Amino acid sequence: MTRNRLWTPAVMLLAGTALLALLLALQARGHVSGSGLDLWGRTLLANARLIAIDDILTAFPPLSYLGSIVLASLFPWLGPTTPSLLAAMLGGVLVGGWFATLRDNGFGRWAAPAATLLLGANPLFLRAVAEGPAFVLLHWGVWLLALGMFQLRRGHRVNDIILIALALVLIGLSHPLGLVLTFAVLPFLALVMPPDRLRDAPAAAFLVLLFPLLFTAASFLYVNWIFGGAPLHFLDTLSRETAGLGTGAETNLADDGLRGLHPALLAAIGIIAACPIGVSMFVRTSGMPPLRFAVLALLGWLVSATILAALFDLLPSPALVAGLGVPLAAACAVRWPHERPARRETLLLLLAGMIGALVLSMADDSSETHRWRRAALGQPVPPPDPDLAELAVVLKQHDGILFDAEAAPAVVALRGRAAGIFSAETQAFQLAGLGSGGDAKVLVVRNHASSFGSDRIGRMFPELYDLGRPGYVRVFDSERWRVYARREKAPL
Amino acid sequence: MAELTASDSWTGDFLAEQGLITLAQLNEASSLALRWGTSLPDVLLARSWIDADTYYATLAARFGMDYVRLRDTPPDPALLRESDVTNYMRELTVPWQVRDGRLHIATARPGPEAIVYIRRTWGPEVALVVTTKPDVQRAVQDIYSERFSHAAVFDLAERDPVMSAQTVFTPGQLLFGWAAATVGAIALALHPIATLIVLNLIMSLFYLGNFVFKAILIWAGGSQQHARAREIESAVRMLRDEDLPIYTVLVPMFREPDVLPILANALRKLDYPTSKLDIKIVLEEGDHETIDAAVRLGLEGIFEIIRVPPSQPQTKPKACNYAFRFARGDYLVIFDAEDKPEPDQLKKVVVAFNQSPDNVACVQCRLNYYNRDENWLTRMFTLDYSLWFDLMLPGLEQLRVPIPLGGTSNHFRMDVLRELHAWDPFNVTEDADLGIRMTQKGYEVRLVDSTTFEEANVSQKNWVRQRSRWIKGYMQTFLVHIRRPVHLLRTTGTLGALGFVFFIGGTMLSGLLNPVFWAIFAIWAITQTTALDSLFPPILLYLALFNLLAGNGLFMFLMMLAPFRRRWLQLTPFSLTVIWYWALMSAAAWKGAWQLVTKPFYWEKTHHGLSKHTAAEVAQAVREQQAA
Repeated sequence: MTRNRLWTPAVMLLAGTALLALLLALQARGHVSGSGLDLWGRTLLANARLIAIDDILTAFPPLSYLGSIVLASLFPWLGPTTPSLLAAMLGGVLVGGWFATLRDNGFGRWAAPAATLLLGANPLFLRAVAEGPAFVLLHWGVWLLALGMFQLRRGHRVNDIILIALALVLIGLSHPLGLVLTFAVLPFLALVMPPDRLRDAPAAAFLVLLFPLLFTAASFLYVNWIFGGAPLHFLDTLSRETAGLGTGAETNLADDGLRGLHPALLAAIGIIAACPIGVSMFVRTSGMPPLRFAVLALLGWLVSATILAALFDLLPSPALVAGLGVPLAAACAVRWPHERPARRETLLLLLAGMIGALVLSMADDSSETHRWRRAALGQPVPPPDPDLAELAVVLKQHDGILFDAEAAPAVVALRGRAAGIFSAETQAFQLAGLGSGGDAKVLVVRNHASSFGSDRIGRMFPELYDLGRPGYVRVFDSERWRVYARREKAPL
Repeated sequence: MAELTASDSWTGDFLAEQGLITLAQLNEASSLALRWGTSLPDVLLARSWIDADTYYATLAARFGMDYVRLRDTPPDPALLRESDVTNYMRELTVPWQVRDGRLHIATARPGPEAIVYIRRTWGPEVALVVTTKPDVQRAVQDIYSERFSHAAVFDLAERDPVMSAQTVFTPGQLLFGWAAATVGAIALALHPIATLIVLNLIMSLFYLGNFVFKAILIWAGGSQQHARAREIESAVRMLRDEDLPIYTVLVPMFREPDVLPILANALRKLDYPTSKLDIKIVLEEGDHETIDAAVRLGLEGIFEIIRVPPSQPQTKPKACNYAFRFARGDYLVIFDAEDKPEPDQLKKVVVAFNQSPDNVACVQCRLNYYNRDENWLTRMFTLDYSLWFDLMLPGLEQLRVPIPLGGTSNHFRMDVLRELHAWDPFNVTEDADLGIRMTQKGYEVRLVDSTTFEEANVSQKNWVRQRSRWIKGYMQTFLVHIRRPVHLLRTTGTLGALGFVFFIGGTMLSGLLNPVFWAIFAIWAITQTTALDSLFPPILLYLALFNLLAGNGLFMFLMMLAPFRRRWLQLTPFSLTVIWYWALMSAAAWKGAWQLVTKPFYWEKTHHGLSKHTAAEVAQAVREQQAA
């Protein structure tokens, strides 16, 4: 066993532990990301069997969800730290992977740990880990894709095709933003394909790169058809809240026009700021078309995906998007063509990326990044969605709650348990669907006029939000949610 | 510029002076001899510019020796020794007869070198006679025909019976199989659903292991390929002809006279000095049409024709086992009749052997097809072979899993081949078996990036026949090497044994099981029946569904990757039609399984020469020969 192979697990363990410690410290100051809460809520519902296994299998995005369910089933005592642990583990292994590839590619005994530290401690990477496992998986995907794209035109190896193809699957299944990323990459793949193959059979060249993604998508639709009755069944259970996009997109072009593009522009600039090594590599690789085209394709891809995400109204906070520049920087460092083995220039560029990331994380005023920044600076942190937090406080005191929990799983996470909820899969919920209301002591309904529209309770009882229900009294009221509790009969 | 040897120069001048050849023929033969790296007389004889009888009789007269035809007055068998056969064939010199109390030695290459050799071997008192090269070769074959014929069939079975497929199922295997069937029957009778679930689970886990293993193989195989190929190519450029060893090329053929010109042309194009090539065309004694065609083409001048006496089983390995005993090379390679090896293949292999540790006993080259664009089947077959040879076998090599050798273009060290008693004539994929046997005996197989192009089957019926033989052979190989599981594990390691099970066992078993699962899936998908629900409890259902989707998707993807290396991406879209190819494979698997029981040693002959490309190749080969 080489020294490298001995050190890599140690780096993974160290990085994973440090990341977990950081996440726990953030949690202690009140920071849990909206998507983290959402994930934990759905995990609680799944493990309490309040979500049917068919709905678990058809859920999108599946990877972080399945990972969290498996981890929570194996180690139930972990409780709400489960998503954090998953994110820290994935992050730790990723950092270990960076270290191993840096060592394999000629980084010296000091240069490799230094570069790994500059990448692993990058504020935007830490922000991604704090967001939850889904975004760490996106980082994985970007890193693997970048490694494959850098090498494909140079080495003509099938391994690089496999890397690209599997990275696209990983990106597509990790996060809704991944769908935009996989769509955005299409034109840029042409830049990294060996020209002779592309000239001879362009359609086949794209087919081989995209087949796993297309086949996975078709399989996902098929699984939805089998278990959900329709190929697009997952859309029924997908809401912005469950998709990990937080309480709303960061852009709203319809309302704000071009000003709505500001977060996208910030994110795009942030990508460059987090990855100055990419820009430098583009400049330094004249005369090396495989590397130059690859770095151009990768930077162009991330920037284009940012704009597309904004246009599709799917842009998360700019710091998260800009953070995708960090795994790209890691790949650039590995493939950097000059200056071995001291790597001073590479390290300086990674340091510049770290400073850029710091500036960007300060400049991003989105609510989630703002909360994260406050927690990181030791300041009190407001809840991610005060409306849901208050709702959870109310529901903590009750059992026998008829609640479309899948529409707002964060409430379950904030409530701390799924027991006592009649969610969509329970008999009580289905009886309620017959119009009786069943035995529910508490009814929770979402405002049909809210940006998310009606939940399933609202669809069953269209007038419940506005008019309430006979025998029930309103105990909670907000613009999005109302809670009605059954009026207790006065003792005789 | 290279020149003819003194002996050849003298011979040429002498024949021209005698008026036996023209000056124009002498000039052309001289340049051909230099180009081919062979001797002048060989060229003259191959071109039929001089009759063999005339040539050797003239030569005998020149040296004042008798000229004898060994066909009419054969050597005395008592004077020959089996252990010297290689020397007889190498030196073209044999003890002939004792006449007047004096041993007479017959030689087909009279000259100073032969005289030195003869005196060193048999002493100074012997007398010499001249004979022809084919006569020496034929006479030695005739004398040892019976002994070698027996050895060709039974050597392995008699000396290393546990490694021979002569016994298809050992008593232990039969007992185990019967006991398993009994336990299964009892379990089915008592707990039918639970038993079926367990069987289902085992098969699902096997599928999962199978495709995960193959994915790992592809990844491992792709890692270091290019670097090694470049290393070997640069070492080939450093080779000097005089350092090259003698190389035996065996070409077993059976009723394939039409493809002989392709073979002759391809062998002549080999970038290897002809004088160091020992090419043997191995023909069944009764195959007169091919023998006559070879003689008509004048191949005997350069290639030796080995006539294999009739015996059962009539298989390619038996023919090779017979022929390799006459080989005089340090290395040996097998090519099929329609093969077109890349010209530098032998040199690359020599380099690979030179660079490898001593326990590397075989080098396998890649196989692929020259008629890949002929029809759907040839395209799929090309994808299949590209996946196998370009991606999977390098993975096996990288992970040190036993490599089942491919049908041709496997190059052996002769000493190891002899030690292992060569091929198993009872195994219809004798090369695959030999690869595994080598690993079990502590030897290694390496791969070299050089391709031999063959004719892909153009007919589905013919393809199923060929594939059924391969799968039957894999079953034989699996049964042979699983006889001693602990020994297998000890000699190949855990990964090697697992790899053997998944690669050999998986290939044949998936062909057998696929139709079962396809049928279950089709019934369920069409009828939406709930009758099967009890066999698929949730976890198993998800596993089976994962296998169905991920497994099929992965294998299609791997098929798509296969042509990338060779820049044949236009074949990639055909991977989407691989389902029918798998169906054909399953048909072949069931046919092979049936034959394993009914006709285990029957050799399903693949008919070559059906391709339009082959006809064109033959025409081109004839043209090139004439032009040469």
